Amino acid sequence: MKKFAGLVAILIIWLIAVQLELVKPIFLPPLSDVALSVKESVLTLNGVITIFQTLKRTIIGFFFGLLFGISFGMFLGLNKKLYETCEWFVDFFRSVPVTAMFPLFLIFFGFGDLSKIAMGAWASGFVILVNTIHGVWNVKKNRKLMAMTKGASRTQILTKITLFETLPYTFAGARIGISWNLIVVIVAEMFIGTEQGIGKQIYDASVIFDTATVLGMIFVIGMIGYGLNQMMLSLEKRVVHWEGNPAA
Amino acid sequence: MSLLAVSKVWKSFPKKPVLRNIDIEIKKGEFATLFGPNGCGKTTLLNLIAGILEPDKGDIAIDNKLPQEQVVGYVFQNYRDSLLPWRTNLENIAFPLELQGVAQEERARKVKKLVRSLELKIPLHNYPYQSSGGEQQLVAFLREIITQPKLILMDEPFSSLDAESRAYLRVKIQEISEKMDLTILFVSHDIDETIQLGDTILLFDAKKRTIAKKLSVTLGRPRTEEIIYTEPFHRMKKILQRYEE
Ligand SMILES: Nc1ncnc2c1ncn2[C@@H]1O[C@H](COP(=O)(O)OP(=O)(O)OP(=O)(O)O)[C@@H](O)[C@H]1O
Ligand SMILES: [Mg+2]
Repeated sequence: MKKFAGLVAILIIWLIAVQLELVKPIFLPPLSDVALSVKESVLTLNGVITIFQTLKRTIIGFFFGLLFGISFGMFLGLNKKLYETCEWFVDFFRSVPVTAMFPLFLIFFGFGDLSKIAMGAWASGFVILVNTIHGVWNVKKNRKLMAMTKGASRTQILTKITLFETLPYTFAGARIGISWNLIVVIVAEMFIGTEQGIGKQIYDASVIFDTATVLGMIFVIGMIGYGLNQMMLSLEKRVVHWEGNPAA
Repeated sequence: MSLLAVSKVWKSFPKKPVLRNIDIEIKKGEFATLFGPNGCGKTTLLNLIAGILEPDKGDIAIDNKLPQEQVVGYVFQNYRDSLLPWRTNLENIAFPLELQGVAQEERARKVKKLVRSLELKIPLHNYPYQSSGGEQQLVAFLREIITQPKLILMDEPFSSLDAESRAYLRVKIQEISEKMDLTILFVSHDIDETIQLGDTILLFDAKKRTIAKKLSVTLGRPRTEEIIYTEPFHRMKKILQRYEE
């Protein structure tokens, strides 16, 4: 219960502030208006489609991010010499915010869904890539030696040891990556525009100073982000069950 | 005819000489313990015999083959780092069989048969992290003997266990070794353990960086912890203490 004490306090202050008209509604709209906008977005067909569009772009992008991050991560992790020659490339491009590269994505992928998906994939892909590389490097030397003394081939070491040892790192990257992916998709929806999407809706509401809808959608995004994170966590717990266990 | 023959082996690391002129002979079925203080080069020697490292000079033969051509069992100092935590105990023990392409059912059958024949209680379907340290070390040991390699190397395998598991395993390993007619080279820096386990004891002289002596232990088996109260044990212990540093 303690966890929610802060939230309850904020809500009470909010209610009082609005009731006594201490703040202009454009800064702090009535709580009921915000609740209404949340309800609309979750319970109307239009609202659900909006959420679905954003989620769809996020998930498809994330899928490609995974594909890119894991395959290149394994490849670069295993080929240290190759990594050294293109380390600057990885470090450079993951340091440039993908949002700064909007124009490039627009040129290559157009104004439709494709560019939003590609930007999301880029954002999550690099986090997963870097984590996977570090995972490959962190394989316990003794485990590899153990397999080698038993005559394991390189492929066997890769599929039976390295892959598993890398999983916890890849998962950590994927969890951060999916959050980034969601952020980038929403920002892209705001600034590139689209038929439907949470980002677009926030943007439209802000243009007409509809603060209640803006706050309501922020709440919805928070719930989606939280949900995705919890989903990844529970998946992680099941797949990498041995990790975080002191005896493992 | 010795199963393991190490002759005139030298090994240095860059700027660090470790082993000088090492000679070792171990017969088939022999349980040899190697005693030496910390950092004297025991692990390095085992790595040479396992074929993980190559000697600068000298020869190593296991059943007349080079270490690289011979698969040996090797129980590492730290079992946690060598077990595969994403596999159950059974799958860990079966790992070498899997590498050889043995089918899954056959693997499970072999593991269960081995565990039964040795009268061990191991939760085979649990994961290592759900098992005690002693059970984990047993799993690591069984993994090394499941393919019945000619030679088993053990690097201070019990040093990180609690006293009770250690006492149990010191007795159990004698029983297993006898039953399966294993040839073991067991490295230790614990004097009591060295004497309790070995048919023969190789003494490492840290100053000369070589094996100084080979002793035979005439005590009967199985040897429990109680052995330390016997007179012959005391006499051996006095000799070993000179190499303790
Ligand atoms: N790869 C290496 N490169 C350089 N020096 C090494 C290497 N491996 C071991 N050494 C050094 O060689 C010496 C012998 O090491 P080794 O691990 O064989 O000793 P040990 O008898 O097994 O020690 P412990 O009782 O601590 O297990 C040590 O001084 C160690 O620092
Ligand atoms: Mg050692």
